[in-house]
Amino acid sequence: MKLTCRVNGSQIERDVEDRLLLSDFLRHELNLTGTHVGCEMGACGACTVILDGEPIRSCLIFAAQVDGATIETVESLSDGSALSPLQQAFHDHGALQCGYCTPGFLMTLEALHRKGQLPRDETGLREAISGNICRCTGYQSIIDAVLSLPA
Amino acid sequence: MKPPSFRLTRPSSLDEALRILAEEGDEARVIAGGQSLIPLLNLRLASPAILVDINRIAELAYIRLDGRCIRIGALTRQSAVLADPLIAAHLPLLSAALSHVGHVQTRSRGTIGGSIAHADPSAEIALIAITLDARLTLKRSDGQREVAARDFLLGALTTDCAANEILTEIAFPLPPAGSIFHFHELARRHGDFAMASVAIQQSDSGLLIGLGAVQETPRVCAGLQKIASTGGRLGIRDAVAAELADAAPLSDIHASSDYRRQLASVLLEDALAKVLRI
Repeated sequence: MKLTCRVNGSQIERDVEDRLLLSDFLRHELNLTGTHVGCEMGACGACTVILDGEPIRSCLIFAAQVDGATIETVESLSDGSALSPLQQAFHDHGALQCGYCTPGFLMTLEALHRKGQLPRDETGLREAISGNICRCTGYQSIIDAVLSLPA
Repeated sequence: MKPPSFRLTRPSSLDEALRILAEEGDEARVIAGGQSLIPLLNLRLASPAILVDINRIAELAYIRLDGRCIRIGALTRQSAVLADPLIAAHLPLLSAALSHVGHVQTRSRGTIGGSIAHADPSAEIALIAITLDARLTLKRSDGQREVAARDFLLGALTTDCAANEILTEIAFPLPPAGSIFHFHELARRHGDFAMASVAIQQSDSGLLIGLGAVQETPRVCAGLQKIASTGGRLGIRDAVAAELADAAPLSDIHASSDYRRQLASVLLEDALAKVLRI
């Protein structure tokens, strides 16, 4: 199926197999390997990207379904070596251990941050990131990093 | 963990989607948000030849106040319903339940109709639809029909939807003025599949009580509708035990049948004590 979309500001045109998942399209066709694939069944959140402003699981949507849409991946957050405020907060608070889940957390939180829906309390934040699993169990530093962001 | 091959069709109108379903019959499967169907495809538990993607059919996404009910288009995203002021004002029970449906990323894609049509026993949206006696509209290429949510869900992952039909609308009756609501569920983590959930609407016309995640379909606790506060906490306990006497709670990796019965009893007793102010 023909696919035209915007990924991280670039116009993309491809012919894709109907069954190709968006996560695999980003990684294998566009070499955007920052989007990680954990479970491929919607449980872990590592593959979270932003689709038309909303955080979604890229393993639970087919590439052909994003025709005409705008997609942002973790590669779009930094400007060269200048980290985004959220990335900088993660860096400052050591909010990652092995780093596998980090792109998913960043894209979930980035989408909520932009929409002004980032909870400012720990309970709300834990609920907001409940769709992202960190197998190193490093949640507390992630919470600390987000709470350090200016309101 | 990759889906099997299928042909993806992306109709831009409901008529076109219904025509494809009429022509392809059992070979075709409707995909809305895909948050339950795509895991099933990735795990190869489902392998339809054709997927009819209804995401481009804008006419299926709306929230409207219409006389004594609120009509929600089946393709309306769960996140849109959760953020809607009309829903928050008129159907707070649905808002309360939606915050427990999956996670922020799955609610971005997941739809109201898709969840009901998928018919997972633990699904919160179906629980609210059954508790409030919502009515569903099903369309096919040569007609349409209305069915009560209570009659639509037949069992786990099984509904009354024919292969040539699409669920297009869910109509929730407006609660009587002054109604009180209560929703609570128990899950391993927030957003996980519920092990037991309860929804209550209390008004002058009585109690509507639904129990979710315990049986294959949400249970309308008819035996508790007339319960009075006079019996106190003990009266509630006896009434709940009587209500659940014929229940055969599900058993799975999350909770055994006995444990589910215990959770259901505690949830119902606490919820009733709260709304009856005991």
